[in-house]
Amino acid sequence: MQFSKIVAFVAITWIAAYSNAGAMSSAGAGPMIPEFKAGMAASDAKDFETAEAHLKAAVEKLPTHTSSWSLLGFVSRKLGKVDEAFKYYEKALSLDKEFRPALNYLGHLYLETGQAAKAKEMLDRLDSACFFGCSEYDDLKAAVAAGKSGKY
Amino acid sequence: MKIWHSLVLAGLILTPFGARASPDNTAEVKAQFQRPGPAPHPRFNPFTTAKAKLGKVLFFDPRLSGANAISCADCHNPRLGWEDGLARSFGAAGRPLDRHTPTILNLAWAKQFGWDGRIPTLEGFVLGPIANAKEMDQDLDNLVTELRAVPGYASLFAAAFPGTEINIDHVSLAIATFERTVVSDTAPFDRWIAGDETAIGTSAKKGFGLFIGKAGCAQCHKGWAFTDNAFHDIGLPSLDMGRGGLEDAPQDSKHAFKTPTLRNIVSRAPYMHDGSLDTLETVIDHYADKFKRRRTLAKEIKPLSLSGEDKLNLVAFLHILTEDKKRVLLPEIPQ
Repeated sequence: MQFSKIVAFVAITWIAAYSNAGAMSSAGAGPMIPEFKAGMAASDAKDFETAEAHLKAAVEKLPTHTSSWSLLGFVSRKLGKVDEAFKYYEKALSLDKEFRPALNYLGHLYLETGQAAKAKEMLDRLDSACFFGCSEYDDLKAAVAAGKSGKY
Repeated sequence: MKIWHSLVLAGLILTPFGARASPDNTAEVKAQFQRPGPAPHPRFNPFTTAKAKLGKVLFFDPRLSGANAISCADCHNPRLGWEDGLARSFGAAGRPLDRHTPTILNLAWAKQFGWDGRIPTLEGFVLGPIANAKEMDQDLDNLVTELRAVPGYASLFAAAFPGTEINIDHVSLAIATFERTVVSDTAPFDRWIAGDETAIGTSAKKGFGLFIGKAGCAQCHKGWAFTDNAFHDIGLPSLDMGRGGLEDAPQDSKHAFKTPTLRNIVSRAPYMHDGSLDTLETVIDHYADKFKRRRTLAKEIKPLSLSGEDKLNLVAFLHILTEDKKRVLLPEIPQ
């Protein structure tokens, strides 16, 4: 095998491994337990009260289920329970400090609570967590820029 | 016989739930209008005197606008019920804004902010008008630089946020804390609710009877602050979509706007989200039969048969929601 092909093979393997690791960080935040699945479905249907109940059951059953904590933060935010939302996102990030959905949504929550400087910190953490870029980074970046331009 | 009891016995008063008041539920009706305890503050931004003091100074400081020409208080003037007396204010660009300036009275109890409730916290709302090009047109990064360069601000920020360098979060947290202290003071209505029968006149008492009864105003203007903090299409001809214009608009929210508080309403003309009605009389006429019929019209709004005397009594009632003379002391702006 030519040297250049070996280099290319190693690079592609490394990229694939890294990308997978990134995905594991977000999606590998717990198995698809029924309570989380039900919570996610209810949240998608904008039935946030029902989603909250399912997700609370999920974290009671599996307290290390990062995705459930993160989604519970999102649902609480949608229900106007700001203080609880902070607590749940921070719990998710204590389990996985690079969990991209929580970094993104916590950034949004900071914006919604008038803390643009802290939202920018979340954006910087997402920048580190998404070496090759990711939708969460793009989403929060746009929100931070909109806040700065006075979109409210 | 006291007028309250006369009204009850004459069957003029309906409770906000539609049931006729009786001597048995008079206390219940009054209880619904009693003033609450101290203003609540969120856990993520607890009250401190230093923060409220800083917030007040910032609120009155024209440095918060891009041209250092207008402060928050230019549109939210304490002498005008924390509004500006204009149908629609003129921002930094000198053009009328899209909507009438809402009061900042009693926001401590609100859940969603803005006429369409687009922002869930007060902290999240306050930077919007500062940064918006049509309103105060301030670059938020420049604002922080400007504030750091004012020696008089150093001690105010240090007292409010010890051990940290001035940043934009401090501005929003402090202004929101101050705004939560802007609470309408005791009015003749409150003294009457508390049991002083001489606090208000006969006409106002009759007006209150209409307000919670036949006129149905209290269906939305409920509680001590006279707002349900909810959103309704009240049939104004304006094409503004209100809450229905939000990205994630709730169903049937076209032309829906937040019910404003009625506290100090006399000082807050003109009225409505577009400032289109100049007087309380025109507002009452609107609700009587001048509203626009459309699918999204709030179900609470129905044609009313109000006599001239009824209308005068309603206006008399709205007058007694004006707080007793209170002077807002203006802060010294740091140099």
